[in-house]
Amino acid sequence: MSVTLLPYLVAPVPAGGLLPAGPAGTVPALVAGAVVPAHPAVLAAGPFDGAPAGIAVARLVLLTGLALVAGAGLVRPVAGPPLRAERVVAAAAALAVAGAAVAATTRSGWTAWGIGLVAVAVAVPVLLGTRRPVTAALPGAAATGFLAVLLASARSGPVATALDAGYAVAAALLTGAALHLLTRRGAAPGAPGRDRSAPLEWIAVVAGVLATAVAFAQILLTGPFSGIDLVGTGYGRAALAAALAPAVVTGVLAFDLFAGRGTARTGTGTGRARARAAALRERTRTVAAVAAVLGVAAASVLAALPVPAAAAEPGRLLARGVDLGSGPLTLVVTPMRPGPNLVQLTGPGLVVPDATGPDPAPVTTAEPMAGHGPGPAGGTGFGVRVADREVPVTARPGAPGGWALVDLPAGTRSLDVLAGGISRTVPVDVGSDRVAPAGATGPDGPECASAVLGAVVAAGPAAGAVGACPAESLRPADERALRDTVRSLAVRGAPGIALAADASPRSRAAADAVRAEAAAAGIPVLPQAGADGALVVVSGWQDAARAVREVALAAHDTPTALGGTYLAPWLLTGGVLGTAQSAVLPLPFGPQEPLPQRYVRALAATAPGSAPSTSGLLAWADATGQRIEEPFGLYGAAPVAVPMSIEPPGESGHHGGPNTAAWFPGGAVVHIGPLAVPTTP
Amino acid sequence: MSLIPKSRWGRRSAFALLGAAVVAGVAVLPAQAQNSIDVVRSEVTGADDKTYWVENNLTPEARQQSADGPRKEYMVVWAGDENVADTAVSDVRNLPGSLADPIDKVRDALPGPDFMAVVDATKGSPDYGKVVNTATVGPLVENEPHHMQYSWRKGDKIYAGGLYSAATYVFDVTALPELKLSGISLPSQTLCGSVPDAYWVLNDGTAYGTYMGGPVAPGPCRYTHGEVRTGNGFAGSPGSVVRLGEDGENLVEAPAATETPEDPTQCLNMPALGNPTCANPHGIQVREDLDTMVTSDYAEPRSIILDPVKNPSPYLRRPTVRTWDISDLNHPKVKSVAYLPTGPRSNGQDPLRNENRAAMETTVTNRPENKGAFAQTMQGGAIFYTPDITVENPEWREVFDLGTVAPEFGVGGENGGPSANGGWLQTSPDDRTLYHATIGRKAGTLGPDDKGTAGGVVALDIEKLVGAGTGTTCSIDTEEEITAGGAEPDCPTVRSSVGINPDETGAGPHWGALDNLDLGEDGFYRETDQPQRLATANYFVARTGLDGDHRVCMVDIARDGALTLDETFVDEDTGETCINFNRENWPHGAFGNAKPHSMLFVAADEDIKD
Repeated sequence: MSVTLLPYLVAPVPAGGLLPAGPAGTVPALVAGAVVPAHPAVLAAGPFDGAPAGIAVARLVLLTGLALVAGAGLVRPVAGPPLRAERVVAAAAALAVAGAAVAATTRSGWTAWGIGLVAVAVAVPVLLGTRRPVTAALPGAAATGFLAVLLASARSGPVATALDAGYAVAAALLTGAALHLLTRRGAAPGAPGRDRSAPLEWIAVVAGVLATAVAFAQILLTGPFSGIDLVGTGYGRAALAAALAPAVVTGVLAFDLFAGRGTARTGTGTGRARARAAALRERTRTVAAVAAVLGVAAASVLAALPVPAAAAEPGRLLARGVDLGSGPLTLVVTPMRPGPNLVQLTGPGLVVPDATGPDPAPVTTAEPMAGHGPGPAGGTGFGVRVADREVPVTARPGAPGGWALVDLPAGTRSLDVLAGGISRTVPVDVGSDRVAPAGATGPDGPECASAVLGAVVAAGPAAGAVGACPAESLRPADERALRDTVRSLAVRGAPGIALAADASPRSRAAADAVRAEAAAAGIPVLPQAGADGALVVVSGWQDAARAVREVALAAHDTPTALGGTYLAPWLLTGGVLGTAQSAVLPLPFGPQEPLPQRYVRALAATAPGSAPSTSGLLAWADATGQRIEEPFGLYGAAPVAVPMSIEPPGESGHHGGPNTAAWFPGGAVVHIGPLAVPTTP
Repeated sequence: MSLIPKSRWGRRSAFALLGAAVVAGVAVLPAQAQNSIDVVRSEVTGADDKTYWVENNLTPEARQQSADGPRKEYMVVWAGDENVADTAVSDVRNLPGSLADPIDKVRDALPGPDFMAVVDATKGSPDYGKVVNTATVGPLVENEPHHMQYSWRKGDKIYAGGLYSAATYVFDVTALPELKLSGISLPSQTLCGSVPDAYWVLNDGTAYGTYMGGPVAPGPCRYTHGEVRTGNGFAGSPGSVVRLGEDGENLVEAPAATETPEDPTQCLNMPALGNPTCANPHGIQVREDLDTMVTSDYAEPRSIILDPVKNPSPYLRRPTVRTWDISDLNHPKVKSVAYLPTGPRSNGQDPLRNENRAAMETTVTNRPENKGAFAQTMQGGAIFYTPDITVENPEWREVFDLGTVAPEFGVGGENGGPSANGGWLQTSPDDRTLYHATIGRKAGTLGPDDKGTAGGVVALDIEKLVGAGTGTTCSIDTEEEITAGGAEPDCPTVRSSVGINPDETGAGPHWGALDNLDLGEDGFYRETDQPQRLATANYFVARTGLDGDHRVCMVDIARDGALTLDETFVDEDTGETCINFNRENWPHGAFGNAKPHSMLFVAADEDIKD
């Protein structure tokens, strides 16, 4: 495993999959602000990132042990000298901490923090064995500090961090007190002698109340944001355990406290009553100790689980994970308004049928090729159900994954995603305001969703407001690029151009610009490209994929559009590129360059299966405060892969077809020169 | 005052602390050493005015080797970062949220830098087989590192191409183990070709490179000397040959296609071209003394799957070999286009596996008195020979079928020619031996009963064939000769063979390189015409499904020509024979698996005597 634990000793622990998705199957979705740094070795955590099991277990051992050690030291001023059993537990916990720390630093080396952590952990049991065990309180406090830092390290934001730190302090006290009480379970609270159980029980009760309150506050602040996710995901259940365990401790110790006092008040009582009280006390204190440890364990494991899905909010694109039995898929719902909504289901290797019936869906290199297995849920049968209406998930030309257009009445609180007999409930909130942006659910809906997703990937769910869709207007820069492209074709001597456009405002404006420029340059606009003409495509993804595929099919036997297929800048996405034998695009950025690659990495890490797109990149750059300022250049795109035969079933085929994490899955996009801007043809 | 605590628990805790410290020390010290990487960057400005770089990540072993000890020989391995595009679909399906190291999966899914691995290849060195430097290239990612030149001589630059980026990097290796970037050729500089494949370095240090794919933009393309050919675009057809300067400058770009249409039945183009052409040059070797260059056409290097059920047409794979007149190095001209003959296995039912299908590699003879050249076919599984490449229309004959040697490589082995997936083909400097690497065929390729074949390297005795000059009679034209070898007395015979992954079918090497450096008693290296070892790489191109296990192996060549796997060339992490490019950590970071395509034996300039 290439990731080492050490960074997590002092740095945020990646969210991710120690545990599989819960029975309800929903896995959480996008991390708020999962901005991916330039260096791939330090990928930010994504919603599907899992801390590898070894790391997660090491963290669990480390933090739980640390809580025991810290607690054993912290309670000394009140509890007095420990019994042997308490020292043994503290020593064992310290060794566990040391072992986990050593394991964590095996590959990455020690830091002063790591050394200090081990030192204070070991110091506690050492001092407990001395004549002045109260001195263990000092390293105990330091260990509590470490625990707070580690537990809070997975959070971002001061409030969430403070809540985790508070939980750590309370949990340490609670654990220490519970441990001490367990070792002295034969003594009744308030009983005479050196026993100080009563004050400790009060401490534990207060700490338990505090921990419970803090844990619930954390849930309210950072999620899960719905009851469905709270009980249906690993993270939700762990968060619930972290909150309820201290409550259990509080409850049983309060009972013990008052029952014990009752026994003490009644004096000696009967021998049988005393025995019953002792037995009850033993059980309650055992339960308290186990619950205290479980609470810390649950809290420590939270950071190793996929983070909670964002709360569904009216008017904001919802992007989250959903597990339909074969691993998480990315689920997108947009525009989250009453009425028609697009639901996208995607993931690496996902296969869905075409919406048009028996004809195969446009096959792109982004889709699995022969030799591959079926998609995650068996290849077919995805659906979305709202109330009693079930809508099949089908392919849309030019767009990745599967899509369903569903009607969500005002007030809808959930929808079900179905596959192969498995149903998952996803919380939604469309509100009651019927103000869906134009184009959000039409043929250009996938591009609109891609743009919003770009912003969400950059700036978190809060950036998911579905506003004006890209296909609703033609960017001036794109118009200039198209005009320059036409002039370039004129310079190259293209005998004519065929124009592929659709009814969207952007496409109509682009077509007008192309026609005007062609007229100015003296290039005829033809109904068909013919053998040597060029095809200029300014439609949206869906029609572009169809138009380009038709030309590719025609060119199989007859020279067709040998002047080239020129795509508008917004058509840089795998679903369109994969239908073309080759294409040329004017672009203001190089897809292989660092900034677009950062966008691709962020998208792949936070919403696997989603296809990068120009609109997504522009939105991502805008949300991250970066500008795509490069002058337009011409880029060539082609599916580069030596055409091997379809080899033995399951043996080879095209291994890497479904790389939706690339600009052009299975292909290449390279800069082939500047976009010439000749003044005269 | 005693340092040992008096209490029992105090003593126990002290001992526990001591134990933990010892364990930590043992674990940490090597880790700290591992982290001591020297990063040295070399940059050039590309034709687009952007900065391109190679970033050396030198390990402590690299520094030691520079400072003292015996002079080092290195193997540089041109390798690509593996990402999700290269992994099997089962991995992809489990990518997010799975329990099996999902972070690693995500990391492997995303593009990391491609790199030149510098491996200590000094036999007997304690660091033998260690990666002492990874020189990463940037900012372009997903180059799909492919071929370099076939061998390296003192003073040569290294020309290394990226299939997908269509870029050629030029490396300076005079200060090994550190590399410098001398230049880069971008696709905007080679407009009439794309998908660079292989290189041949000329005596003046410049190089010819084959650009297998078509012009970067579809339509007519004008080459350096005014020739015009119409192409169907990036990674299509026709390709070109480019002469590159030592700074990556495009000195000349020459059309590989003829002015007239080539055989339309043999040369399918997608989209169809008015002038059909098979001109997709892959292999390239040169005889400057004969003013002749030979290139072999492999395939139109792109595929759009219009029908996911049907095989791509076999006629996208080329059966042609071209000879070029290079009497003017700046004006190479195609002199002949030869269609390799079909052989006794060709029956019209499976043209994909006709003996002449997919002429990937060619190699020339080397000695002045010899003028012949060889070619091999990847799907055809055969080797062809022409005795004289200087004539107007060389005649090529099949001289060896891989079915003859397939059983020697390991499991399977029946009907070993079809889809043998042969690759590297190289004559020995003395023209006595022909080396050929073959991946083998996965079981089931030809049908449910196909047991497949293992892969490996074969050394063929070609002394008689080459020695026969133009009087050669060898020709594989009967069914018996498919497995028994040529009946004519001058036909090549198997001198030796070695299986790589002999227990698996279709898991052999695609590429190889001869070690043409020999360590003399004076401690300096010299070029030799008697190589004593060769290296192999088990990787082709992941997207095609021939991914391999990403291991680089060393094979010893005994005086009698016997080939044996060098079991002392072991992976520094696993201790297993051959070095594995599927590893978690590299000197440049935890980027995971890498794909080693080609390699060269090299040494620092100061360590070589002419």
